[in-house]
Amino acid sequence: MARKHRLPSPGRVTAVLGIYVLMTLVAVSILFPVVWMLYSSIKSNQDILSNVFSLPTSIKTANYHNLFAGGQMPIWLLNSAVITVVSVAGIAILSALAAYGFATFSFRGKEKLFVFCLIGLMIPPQALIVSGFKWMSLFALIGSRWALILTYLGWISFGVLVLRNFFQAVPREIIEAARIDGAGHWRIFSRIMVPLARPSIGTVVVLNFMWVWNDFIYPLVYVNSADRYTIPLGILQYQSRLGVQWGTQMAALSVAAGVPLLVYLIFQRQFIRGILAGSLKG
Amino acid sequence: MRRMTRTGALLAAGTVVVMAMTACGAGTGGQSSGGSLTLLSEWTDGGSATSIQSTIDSWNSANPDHKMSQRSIGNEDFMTASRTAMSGSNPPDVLQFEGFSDTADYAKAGKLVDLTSWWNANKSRFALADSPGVTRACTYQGKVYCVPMSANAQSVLFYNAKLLSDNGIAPPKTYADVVAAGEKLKAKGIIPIALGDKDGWPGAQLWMTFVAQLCGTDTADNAVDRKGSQWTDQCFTQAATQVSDLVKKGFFPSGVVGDDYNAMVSLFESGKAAFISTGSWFIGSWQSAPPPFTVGAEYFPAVAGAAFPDDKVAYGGDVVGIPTGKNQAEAMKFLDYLTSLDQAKVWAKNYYFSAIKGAVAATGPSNIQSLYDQTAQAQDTLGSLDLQLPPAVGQDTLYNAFQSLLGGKSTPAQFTAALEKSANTAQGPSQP
Amino acid sequence: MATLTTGAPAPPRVAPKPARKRRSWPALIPFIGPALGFYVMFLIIPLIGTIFLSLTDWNGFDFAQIHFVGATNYTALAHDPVFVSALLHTLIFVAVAMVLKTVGSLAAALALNERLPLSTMFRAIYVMPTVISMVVIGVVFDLALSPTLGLLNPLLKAIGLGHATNGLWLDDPHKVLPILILVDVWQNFGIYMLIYISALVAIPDELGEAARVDGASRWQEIRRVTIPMLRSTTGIVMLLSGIDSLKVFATVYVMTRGGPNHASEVLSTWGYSQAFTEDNVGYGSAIMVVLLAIAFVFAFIWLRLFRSKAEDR
Repeated sequence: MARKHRLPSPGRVTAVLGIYVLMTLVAVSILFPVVWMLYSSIKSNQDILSNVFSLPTSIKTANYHNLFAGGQMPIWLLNSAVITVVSVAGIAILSALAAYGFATFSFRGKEKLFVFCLIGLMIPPQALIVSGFKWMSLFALIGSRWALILTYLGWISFGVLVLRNFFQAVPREIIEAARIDGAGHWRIFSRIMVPLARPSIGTVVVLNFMWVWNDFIYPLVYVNSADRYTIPLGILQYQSRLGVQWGTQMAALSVAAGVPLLVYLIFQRQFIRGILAGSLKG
Repeated sequence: MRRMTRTGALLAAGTVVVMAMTACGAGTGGQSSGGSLTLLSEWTDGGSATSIQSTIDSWNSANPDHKMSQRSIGNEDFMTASRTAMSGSNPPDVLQFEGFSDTADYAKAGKLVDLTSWWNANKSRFALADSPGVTRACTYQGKVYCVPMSANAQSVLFYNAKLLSDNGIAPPKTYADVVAAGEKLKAKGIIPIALGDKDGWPGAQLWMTFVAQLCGTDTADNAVDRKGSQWTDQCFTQAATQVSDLVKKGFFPSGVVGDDYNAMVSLFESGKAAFISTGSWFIGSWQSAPPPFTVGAEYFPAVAGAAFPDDKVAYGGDVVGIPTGKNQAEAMKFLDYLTSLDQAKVWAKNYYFSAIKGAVAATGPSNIQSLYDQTAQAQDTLGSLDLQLPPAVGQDTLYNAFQSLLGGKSTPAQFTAALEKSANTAQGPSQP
Repeated sequence: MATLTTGAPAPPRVAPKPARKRRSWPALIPFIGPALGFYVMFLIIPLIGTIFLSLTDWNGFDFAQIHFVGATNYTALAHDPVFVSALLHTLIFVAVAMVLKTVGSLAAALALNERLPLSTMFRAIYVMPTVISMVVIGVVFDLALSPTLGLLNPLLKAIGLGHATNGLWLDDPHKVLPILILVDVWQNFGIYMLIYISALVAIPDELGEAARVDGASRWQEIRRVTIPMLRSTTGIVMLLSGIDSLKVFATVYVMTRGGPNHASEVLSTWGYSQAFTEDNVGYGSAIMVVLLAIAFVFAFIWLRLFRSKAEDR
């Protein structure tokens, strides 16, 4: 980086300082809600009611105890994990296959079909719950985890868009070379394209993980017993119009946000590399 | 690029398959089959959540062949979940809801079992059974479709006894006392009355308190039914004027239309506000989180010259109905069980204003007895107007126009005019 | 996001000649078929269902009581003042949020691209809000902005700006929409920042070098070289962030429920309350369909602009 070795001018120093101040302010505004949620989750209900933003005076694990020992949090965690893992794995596989199809085959109406596949990006989920509910009832799936998993498997638009663009950017020579060696589509797909696209698949997986994990509108109408709740729905059990269980709710929110945050922090490198890889392939 | 190790891939694939199978196995049990019952409710706050769990636990150990499983959703999303579930072919076997226009909608669609004969046989066990607040909550075209669970008082004025005595204020007995106390508190920089109207209903309830006192239950119910009374009638506007006078006096916190109910409770419990006007459900949270000071509770005192000083906003609070479905017989048995005095005592012990006579007297905490007795003896009870009106009027226009009034953006006359216009659109003109 | 790829300065477009010309349906279907199957079954069919519902008067209680009413719901929209203001709010929301998200994410990407110390940490933090549930964010912001319980007013007071405002935030009909827009920007700019970073990394340094030789300052270099190079990325960021804002629901629903007195009502919240609290599933569906139609128009315009640019290359 040539610019690193330049002697910093006073103007540049001020600019850099300004940038830091601004960046720090934004970062604080982001970290504050997270930190607040975490420390509120160890406060008693009464402490939160008396002063919502004060720091805890003592550590109370009662809220977590309510969730895990007294409540159904372990079951909800399991439900969320099962539904998210199955759906996201499915989305990744389905969209990788379709993206390969769009990137390597040429057929009539391909562009139109591709654009058709992107409609999903434009639909707010709450627009589909009434008809979706009716549709799922016809298959007698309401109340089953399959209703959710199948719905999420329809969320392929983003993956198809991301992965098609990636596959298109893979240099032709690689594929041609494999073909000359006698490899068919399946071989090329599984042995060359998928390994190459791992970072991009990582992006698709991480973002869909967030979306599926945090979705509450479909579980709200598709699930009909508390032992099949997913976590975002479980949180609603600690909200009330008529009373406040603030402490327990904060603990529930901490668990709900904790998992995707951990996934994000662990996969952060992979995730960002996935995004960077998109352009580096060019 | 590094190659994904084959073991890793196999492991991942294996996990997915196992999880898919778990999902499948658990999924097939999803349909409520003959043996098990389901309950959908909004019983999520302290007292009622503990109580329903206890009732279900004891029911399940007594009825192992017809186990009840419940799900509860506490906030506005309950409406989305319950309406969608009721529209489907597999509704819950027992539904708790809020009565009134919902009762009518469900009954009209044939979604609720006619409980008239059950109610006639059992109503002597219920407090307020013949009061308008309760009968209107559950009756549609002369038939009864639900049963009240609570005898909630809605127009209660709670006060922070310590904060009042610290400031040399005696607990108010009359409306003039409340106003005088408010002026004094305001001068000392204490918020007189906590209120947060983001969700619309807390403010609407304050208006209803004055409606009950100034218009009386009959006039208000006639306005709901479009029978002669109109929302633009003098007394309704005057009730709104009472609220806007309090706004002008600066008795409410700034930010009254942006804060929600939780924030309003927090204002009161943190000692920033001296009074809070809400329903008796407020007491329900005291069991798990008692306020750090002595709380006094009285019915909201009647304004001077009110024509109906004893009319109170009270109703079944929450009601239980039996959706038409395959487990009706068992669901009826559960209803018997849920409304039995033994179970009601459990609820009352958890600070719940049970509608079953004798429960609160037997096990309810002593500090709610007098409030409960006043409610149970009230003759003219006004059911919550926001729930009585069709939702487009009661939960859209009423809430929004009232927010506008609280925010000082419109006058009492504009508020009632907006309400009348909306009622006219939704229900047609009021005819004697 | 691998629009990311398209977003990069000069990704090679698809190889000009398709690899194999021969008809390959049997080979193609196993690839495209499964995804299309799930997509059509569980997304497109419910969508068609919603469009159908929008032509009925269904109240949400009993399917036996459903009547086809043609375009009545759509003509009713014009006479619904709340719909008109919700439409206006949505358009304002999209226009402002899209610009702010684009500018904000570009600025953040450029700042982080300077490779100053702690850049990685900032980058990680900025993506966090997209990961956190809106429920948490809503509760915190609602409380922090509360005039009586909150943090913002005491903070302003502490720095001597206490009298610069009337102390109201979400309560003030004039401020509520701008605040919600800021929250939407705050929550989502991180993702777009990553898209920009990925494009920036791919800009060859020689271009900037040339500018520097000409004596351009760092800022001039960014303005004259970097930003023009990012044009197509900007197109994608604007599309995705615009559609995101068009669909905005949780932010508004959780923080204000569209209030006070409809001051922050947007199409998605109004459609939702019509369908689920006001017993007008048909009408609510019509509002959702309008929202969808706007998304299509928006995407179509974008596609036109983007296509012509792609062909320029």
